[in-house]
Amino acid sequence: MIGYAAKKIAMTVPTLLIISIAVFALMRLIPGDPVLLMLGDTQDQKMIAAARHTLGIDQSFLVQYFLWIKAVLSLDLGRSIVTAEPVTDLILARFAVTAQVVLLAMAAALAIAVPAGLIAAQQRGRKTDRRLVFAAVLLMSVPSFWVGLLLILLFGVKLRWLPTIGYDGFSYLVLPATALAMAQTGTLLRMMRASASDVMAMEYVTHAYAKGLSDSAVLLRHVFKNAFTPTLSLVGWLLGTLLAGAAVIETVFTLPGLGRLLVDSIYARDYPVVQAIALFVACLYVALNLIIDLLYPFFDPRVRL
Amino acid sequence: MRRPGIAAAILLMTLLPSCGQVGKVPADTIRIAINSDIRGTNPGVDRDANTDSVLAHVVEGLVTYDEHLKIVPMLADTYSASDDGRSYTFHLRKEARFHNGAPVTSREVKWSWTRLLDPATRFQCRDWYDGSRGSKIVSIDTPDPRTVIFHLSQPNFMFLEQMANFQCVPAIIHPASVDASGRWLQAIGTGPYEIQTWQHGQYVLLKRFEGYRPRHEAKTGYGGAKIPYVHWLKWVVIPDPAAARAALLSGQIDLITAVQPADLNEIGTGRQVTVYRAFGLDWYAILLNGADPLLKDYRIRQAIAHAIDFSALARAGTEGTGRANPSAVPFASPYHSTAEDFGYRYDPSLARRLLKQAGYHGQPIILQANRRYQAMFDNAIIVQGMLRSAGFNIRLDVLEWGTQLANVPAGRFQLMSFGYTGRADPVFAYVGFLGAKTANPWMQWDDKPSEKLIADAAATRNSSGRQAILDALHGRMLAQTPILNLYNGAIIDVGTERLDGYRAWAEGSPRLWGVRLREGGS
Repeated sequence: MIGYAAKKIAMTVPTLLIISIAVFALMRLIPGDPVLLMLGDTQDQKMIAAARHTLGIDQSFLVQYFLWIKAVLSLDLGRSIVTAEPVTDLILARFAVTAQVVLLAMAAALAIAVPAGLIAAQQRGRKTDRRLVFAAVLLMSVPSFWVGLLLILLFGVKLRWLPTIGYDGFSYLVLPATALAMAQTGTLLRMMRASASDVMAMEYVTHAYAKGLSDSAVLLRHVFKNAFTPTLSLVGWLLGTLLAGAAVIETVFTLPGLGRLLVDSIYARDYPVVQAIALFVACLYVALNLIIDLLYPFFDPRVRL
Repeated sequence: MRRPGIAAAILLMTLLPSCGQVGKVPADTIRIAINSDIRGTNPGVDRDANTDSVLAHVVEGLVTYDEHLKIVPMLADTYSASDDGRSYTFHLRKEARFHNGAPVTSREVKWSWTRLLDPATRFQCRDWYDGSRGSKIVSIDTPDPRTVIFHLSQPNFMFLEQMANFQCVPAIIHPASVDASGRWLQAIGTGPYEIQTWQHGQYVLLKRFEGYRPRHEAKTGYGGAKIPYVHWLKWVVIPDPAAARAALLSGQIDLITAVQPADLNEIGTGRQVTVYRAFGLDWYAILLNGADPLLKDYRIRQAIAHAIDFSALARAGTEGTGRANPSAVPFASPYHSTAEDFGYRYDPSLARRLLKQAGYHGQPIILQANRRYQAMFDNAIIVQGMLRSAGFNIRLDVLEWGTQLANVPAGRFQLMSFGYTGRADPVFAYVGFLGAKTANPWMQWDDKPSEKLIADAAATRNSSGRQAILDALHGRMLAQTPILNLYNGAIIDVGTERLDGYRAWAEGSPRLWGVRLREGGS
């Protein structure tokens, strides 16, 4: 298993290198000047030139890239052009908020989708199954930002039960996590239902029922473990997507998360932050996939790493 | 089933304390929404509009603007200028104190200015004082602890206006604001509030400065008595306008500013909120690139001007709250006379005749706009429709703001829907776009005689003489059509019923001194 993990990590090095070049090049290809955006009304040409020199963006593309990659290799991601904060601190602080929302949303989605998917599979073709499938399709079809706006109107504006802006404790995460969880619940429910339906058709499930086991015992002991592996893969992919791309929900709920930082940084042409987030997200995907891979044997002992 | 039950109970216990408490903040706090985080706490150095707004509560200059955009003393008790415009003398208020309790003396004033003039400080308006634009501060004398005298290299009758400029206030701060190496630590200013906490990306919390001694004059503009009635000011970063409106209606925010006129319907004026309005200084314009092969023809530019119904555009662009202003001099300025009201006549048939004379045969003209500033986009849509009606082949190119902004100095446009930050003095408004393009690529109107006129206006102390020059300048601008000024943006702020004594004003930034909180508000 350790060898497998080491091999996987080693394989990410060329990927990260390609990503670093691609993001670096793309950011420079986007029209726009970080200094003009930063200095705003200032028309002092000397000051604009000095700012460009300070930021190093008056140098050639290759020089800029090699200076940056050299710093990255010594674990220095630089400072934000906009706030002058160390990029590492900025990313970690923002990621902490995003991770909380996303993990809470995923936990909630799994808590609903897994049992609901098992029940739908067990009741396949019946009224309960049709209702659950309809609910799943509905949840998948509604954009999470729209759900977020509805939640704000209901629980923020109308009932005034929960805060809708900022981040100052757990209660601030409830609405954004709910909005995020709803769409994921639909996706996970359908996946769980599909894989559980396949497992339900297996002979050992019939055998379990023939032994006189109850529905819940069959579902939990025999169906769940064998049907969860495909859902686990999906969880890994969804987690990666959400951790890197919850920008819309973070904007709607004014959460200082990683996605909002990325979008703001792109608009401000904050090159060091955008480049660092791209690398961070790439590493995140690698780490999540590795964790999911390492979890497979737990659910399916036939898998050998 | 016990475990899920316990988990649910824990979840409920965590959630319940927060339920029903939304909007319940310490009674003595005003919460203001800002659409982006501040850039820093170093006034005039790390700045943008939001930063200027917040720091206006923390730091002060020697002079400032009043409600009617006239210069008034702030940290200065009195001031005077020499007849030749080469020296300015300020007598300081003896009551003024820094946030650390130290009195404001000429020593700190000289230190603050010396620091601002040092290139290492990166003061964004240093070029106004270092000779780059003519006059230079050659020395600062401090004959006694309450007197400061600035000596200039050449006459500068705009020196006080430069000092009072909203965008680049040369704040007087205490030397303890920086460390021994000159590195910025925190703003130890003289304003009615001091910075308590800056939670990056989330909020800035200001605390009342208990040692503040307000001026005796009534609150006016950025001057007069700045009494901090409320203990705390919390500036909350809410980038999304819809989220800010929801936060206002749910009682989590007390004030939102720069509200779009179209959004007032959603907020609803009868829902325990108050709408505050003023004519703003910011103005919207259509830039015409005179270097473009098509637009360098004076007749094409005039045809564009006559094809636009400016009054209808202003009404539509402001939902009926504003009116057209063909001039660079804002309505709020004392220099906006009837001459500045004179603009282009809406005459589509004249526009067609001019197009015919110019030999225009439907070549496409691109109008650039962006969605970040909704008014610029709306203006572009309306202008496109009007120009099409007059026979122009206008195509809209909607760009991301950073891209569009970079196109201005690069000259990569034909027509552009744009906006200028308001300037209190008309001279500053004109110098934002009038000048030689070779010297400054941001310039849109390259005309030597007009440059001479604006230099004359800057050097004229007599207000009627200055008015005559500005009127003449406006006439030249209409005749040459280098830019089409549309209207001044309306200042619309919306507050909850808790606020008492709040007023919007032309500059647009919220002023929370002199504001009380009513009891019983949500």
